[in-house]
Amino acid sequence: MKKGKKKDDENLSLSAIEADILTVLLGRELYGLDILNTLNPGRPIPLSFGSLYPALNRLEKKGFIEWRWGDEQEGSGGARRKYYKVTGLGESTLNQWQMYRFQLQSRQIWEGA
Amino acid sequence: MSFMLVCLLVVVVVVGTLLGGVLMVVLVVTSPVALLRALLRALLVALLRALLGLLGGVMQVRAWLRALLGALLGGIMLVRAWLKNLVSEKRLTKKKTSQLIRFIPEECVAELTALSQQLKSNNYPTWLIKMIIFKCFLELIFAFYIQIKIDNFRLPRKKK
Repeated sequence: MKKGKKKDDENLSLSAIEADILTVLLGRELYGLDILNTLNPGRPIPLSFGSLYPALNRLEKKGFIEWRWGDEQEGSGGARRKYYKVTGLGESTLNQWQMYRFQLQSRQIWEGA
Repeated sequence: MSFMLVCLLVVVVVVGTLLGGVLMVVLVVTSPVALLRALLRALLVALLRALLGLLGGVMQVRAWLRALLGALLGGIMLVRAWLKNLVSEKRLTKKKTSQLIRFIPEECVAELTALSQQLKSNNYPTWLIKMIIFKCFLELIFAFYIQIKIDNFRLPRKKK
């Protein structure tokens, strides 16, 4: 029972990249390159396709995001894009994560003062 | 010369008579069915020995069979993969970029094309665009064939 709960907690955890992607996807639908273009300006370590897709796969498996096929693209010989958006579970997990960050930050400020 | 021919004929007749006599004795002593069976068995053994000699022993025959089985299974998997991709490939045109779908998922092909167009509109040199696309292609190959496969071991199945 405990082991199962621990596994669930692990699955609900978020890495920094995953949290960034969820933040970018909040309230809108974006495709891969769009996510990179929104995330990368000002980011200390720019995200690439090689790290974006594994993160998207993890988020999808955890149930934090969902996707739909877009229209066929002329330039790519008819290949379609995938449009990703955040689910309710993803949104609430991100809120919890942001809340924790905020609490951690304010705690440090209080202790420093 | 004629004497030699006569001698040869005599020898052939004598040997033939002797063999015929032996065959008659054998036929009388044993039944024709048993004889036929024995002949067939001898023929089969001789054939198998010849085949084994040709292929190089029992161990090599096993190796051959194993290789054949492996090739058969590989062939089945290839046909399966080909059939799986057939539906999506049929829809796509024969453009160079669309051929990438054999290696990476469809959405990635669309993303790479979009990236290439974006770089072109930013006036990047062609060689640099090709380099960037190739780098992204290699990253995607690594991501989809290694990293995501490893990640999926510890991740739950897709939630519906």
